[in-house]
Amino acid sequence: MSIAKSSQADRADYNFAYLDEQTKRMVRRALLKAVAIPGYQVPFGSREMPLARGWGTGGIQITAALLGPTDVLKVIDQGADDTTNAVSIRRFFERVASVKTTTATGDATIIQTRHRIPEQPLQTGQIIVYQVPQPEPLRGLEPREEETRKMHAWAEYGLMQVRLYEEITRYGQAATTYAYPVLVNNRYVMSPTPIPKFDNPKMDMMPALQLFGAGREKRIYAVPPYTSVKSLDFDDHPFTIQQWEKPCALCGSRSSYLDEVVVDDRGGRMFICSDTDYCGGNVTDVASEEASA
Amino acid sequence: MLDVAYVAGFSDPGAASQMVFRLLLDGMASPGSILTIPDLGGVHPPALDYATAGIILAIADPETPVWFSDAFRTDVVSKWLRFHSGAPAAAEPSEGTFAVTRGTDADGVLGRFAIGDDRYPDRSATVLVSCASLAGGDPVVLTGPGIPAPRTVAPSALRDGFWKEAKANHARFPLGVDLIFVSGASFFCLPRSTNISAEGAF
Amino acid sequence: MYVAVKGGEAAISATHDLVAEERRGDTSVPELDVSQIREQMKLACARVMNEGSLYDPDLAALALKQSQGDVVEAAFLLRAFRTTLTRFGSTEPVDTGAMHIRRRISATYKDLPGGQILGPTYDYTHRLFDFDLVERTDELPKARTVPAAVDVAMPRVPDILGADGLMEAETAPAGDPRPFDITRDPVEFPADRPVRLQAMARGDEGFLLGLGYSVQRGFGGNHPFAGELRMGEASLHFTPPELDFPIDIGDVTLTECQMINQFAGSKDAPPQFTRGYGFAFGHAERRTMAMALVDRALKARELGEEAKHPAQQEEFVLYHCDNVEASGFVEHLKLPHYVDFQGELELLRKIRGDLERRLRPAPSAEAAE
Repeated sequence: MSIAKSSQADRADYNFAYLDEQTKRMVRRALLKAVAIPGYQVPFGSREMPLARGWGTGGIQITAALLGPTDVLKVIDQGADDTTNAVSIRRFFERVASVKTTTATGDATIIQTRHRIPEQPLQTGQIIVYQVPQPEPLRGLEPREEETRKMHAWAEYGLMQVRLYEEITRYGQAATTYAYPVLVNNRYVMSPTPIPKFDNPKMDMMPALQLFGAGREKRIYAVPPYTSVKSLDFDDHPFTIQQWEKPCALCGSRSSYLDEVVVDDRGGRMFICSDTDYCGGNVTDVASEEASA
Repeated sequence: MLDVAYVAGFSDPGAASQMVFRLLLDGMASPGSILTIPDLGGVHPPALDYATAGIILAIADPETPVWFSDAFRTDVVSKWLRFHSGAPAAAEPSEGTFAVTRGTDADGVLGRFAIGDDRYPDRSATVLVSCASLAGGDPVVLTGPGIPAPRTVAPSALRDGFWKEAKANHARFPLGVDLIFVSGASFFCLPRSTNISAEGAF
Repeated sequence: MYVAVKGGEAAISATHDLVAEERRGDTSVPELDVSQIREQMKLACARVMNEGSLYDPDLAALALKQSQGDVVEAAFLLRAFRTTLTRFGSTEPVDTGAMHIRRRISATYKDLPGGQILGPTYDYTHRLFDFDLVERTDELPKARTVPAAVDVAMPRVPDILGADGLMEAETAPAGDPRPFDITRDPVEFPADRPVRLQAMARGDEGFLLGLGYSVQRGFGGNHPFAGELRMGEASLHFTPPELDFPIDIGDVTLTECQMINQFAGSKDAPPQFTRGYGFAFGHAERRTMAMALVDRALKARELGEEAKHPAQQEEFVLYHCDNVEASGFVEHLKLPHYVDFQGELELLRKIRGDLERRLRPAPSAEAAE
C-alpha cells in the first residue's frame, strides 16, 4: 500500500524539534513580545502536538522553539524527573531533537516544568518553561475571554481582590493554595500556573527567564529575569506559604515542599521532598559527610 | 557577479535562526546588554548591518511585513527580503511588524509605528535602529524588568529628541514599540518595559 | 515502607507493548487491512477526517486501526500529522453548485429543478439486524439505479429563494479578503462567521449534535427547515504561484446542508428567511445538519437577537466543540496532581484545626503540651 511507504518516509522527515521552521518563528515572535510585556498573555497560533492537550503542549512548543544543539534539558512534573509525563516529554525531545538531558537542576539550560519550581535557586542564563493549563487568572471569576481581556486592558483587578478577601473572611486565610495569583511588574495580574503558593516567592526577582506556554488556550507569557512578582495580599493579611512540622523523611530538609506519602492502611504517612533532584543531592551530601567523619 | 539578493542568507537556516533567536531572547530579557551575532555564513546586502540581516532572516516571514526607512529602501534590500524571508515590504511605517531605520532617519520617528491596542498590546512593531556605534553617544540609564542594577547605554549617533521619543514610548506601557539598537554584528534591546533616565540626553 | 516511584521509562515502554497487543486482539482472527477500513468503514473515516481536519481516507483508516476504532483518538493522530505538513497554498473556493450529486434532498419543496435524489441513506432502513452480514459474503450488492453521479443542473435551494429576496443575502465582504485561518492564528472574540464555521467544521459531532438538538427544543428559539442536503463529489482547483490558471488536483466527497430559518425582521430589515450552513468531508449528514443549526443560532449577535442560550454563545461553542482539545484536558486529570492536592490537604487540616481549637474550651496551662 502506498501509505505504508509514505509514512515511513515522513517519520524521517520530521523537522528538528518536531515543529516546522515557520511555526517556530511564530512562537519565537510571541515569546519576544511576551518578554517585552511582562505578565501579559500573548495569543499565539498554537499547533497540535503529538502529545495531548492539557499534557504540556504549550510548554513543549516553547521548548521546541528554544532548543539548540548546545542546550541541556531537564523536565519535571510535580518536582520529579521520573513522573510519567516528565519521562514522556523528555523522551519526545530526545527523539525529535537529540537533545542532551539531565536531572540536575544546576546543569540544565532549559527546565520544562509542571506544577513546581525547583528548590535549588535558578541562575542567570537558565530558562524555566512552565506548562500552563489555564493562563487566565481571572477565568474563575469571569468565564468570557472578551471580558477578561478588557479587565487586563484597564488593569481592573478589583474582582480578584474581592474574591481573596472573601476567602479570608470565611476561612481566616486565603484558601487558594496553588495557582495563587501574582502581580507582575506592578501591572498585569498573572497566573503562576498551578505551582503551590510555596513556590510563588521564588518567582520574584528570579535571575532566570521564566516562560509560560498554554497550548490548548493558545497563550504565551513571560517574566523577564529580575522582575517584580508579588503575590496578591492585604496589609492586614500578608501572603504566607505552606509550612511543615516535620522535615523530609529522606534528606531531612526543612526548607523544601513536601509530598505526603501514605505508607500503610492504618493512617501511617511520611513526608518527603517533592523535588527529587534536590532531595537526592541532600541525601548524597549527608552520606559523604558521614563517610568522611 | 553574484547577486547579493539571491545568494544564501544563512548557510544553515534552521540552526542559524535558532541561535539568533536565542541571542535576541537574551537581549530582550536583559535590556541594554550588548550581544554579538557570530559569523553564520551567508551574504547580506551591504547596506544592512549584519545584525539587522540576521535578525530579519531569523524571525521575519510571510506573516510579518517589514518596513524600511528611505535610507535602506533599495532594490537590493527589497529583493533580498522577499527572496530570503518571504516577508512583504510594508508601504507605511504603521504596517510593519518589523521596522528598520537609522537612528538619524527623520522618517523613522518612533511615533509612526504600531503600538498595539489596550486589549492586544503585542500587536506592535519591533524597531531596529541602526547606529554608527553602540557606544560613544549620550549616556542614558536603564532600569526595569531584566535589569538587576541600573545599566548605562550610549549608542551613537541618534537624531535630536530620540530619547524623548523613547521615553514617551515607555510612558505608554503596556502599549509601545520594542527597540533593538544594532551596529555591525552587535545589538542591544530596549523593550517598552524599560525605564530611561539621563541628564542632558533629552 | 516507602518505595520510591522509579522506573517510569520502563513502565511507559511496557504500556506501548500492551496497547499493541490489545489492539491486535485474538490473533486467530485475521488482522484488519487499512483498505478494508477505508472501504467498509467509510462513515467512521469521514468523521475522523472532519475532526482531524485533513482529507485523507487512507490515513483516516490507518488512524482508526491504530486507535482500535476510538474516533477521537484517531482524529488526534490525524491532527498531529496534519500540523507538520508544509503548506503549498489554498485551493480556489469549492463550487458545491457544480458538485456531482449522489444524494440531494430538500424538505421545503416537493419538487425542484434537478429533483430529489435519495441516494445511499439509512433514512428508510428499518433498524433490524441483517444477520447475513455476520458471515462474509463476496456477493456484490445490486444497486437498482445507476450509482454514478447525476448529471443535471441542481441549483442550491437557498439560491432559488434568494432570487425572490426572501432569503438573507450572503455576500463576501468588500474585496473578498482571505478568511481568518484558525489553524494558524488564535481565535479572538467576538468571532466572525468564517471563524465559527471553521471551528465547527472540525468540532466534535456529538457536541454539535447536542447543541443543534437544544436549539430545536427551545434553547435557541429558531424554527429550522432542511432547505437542502447534498452529497457528492466536487473537484478541487489550485492555482500554483508559477501558473496563472487553476489546475484540477482531484475530487473530494463532500456533504453540504443549508437550513432555512424564520427571522422576524427588525427595525432595519424586513422579515425574511435566514440560513444556517453545514459542510463536511465525506458523507456526514447528521454532522452538517447539526452544524447548520448551530451556525444559525450563532448568528444571534449579527441579527440583533438576544443570545441567552448555549448554542448562541460563541465563546461557549467555539471553545468547547474541539474534541481533541476537550479530551486532552479532561484526560489530563489522570496526570499526577499531588503537589496541588497536598496544598489543599494542608489547608483543610489547618482550617479544621483552627475551628476545633476555637470550639474547644481553652485548656489550662498545665494541660498544654
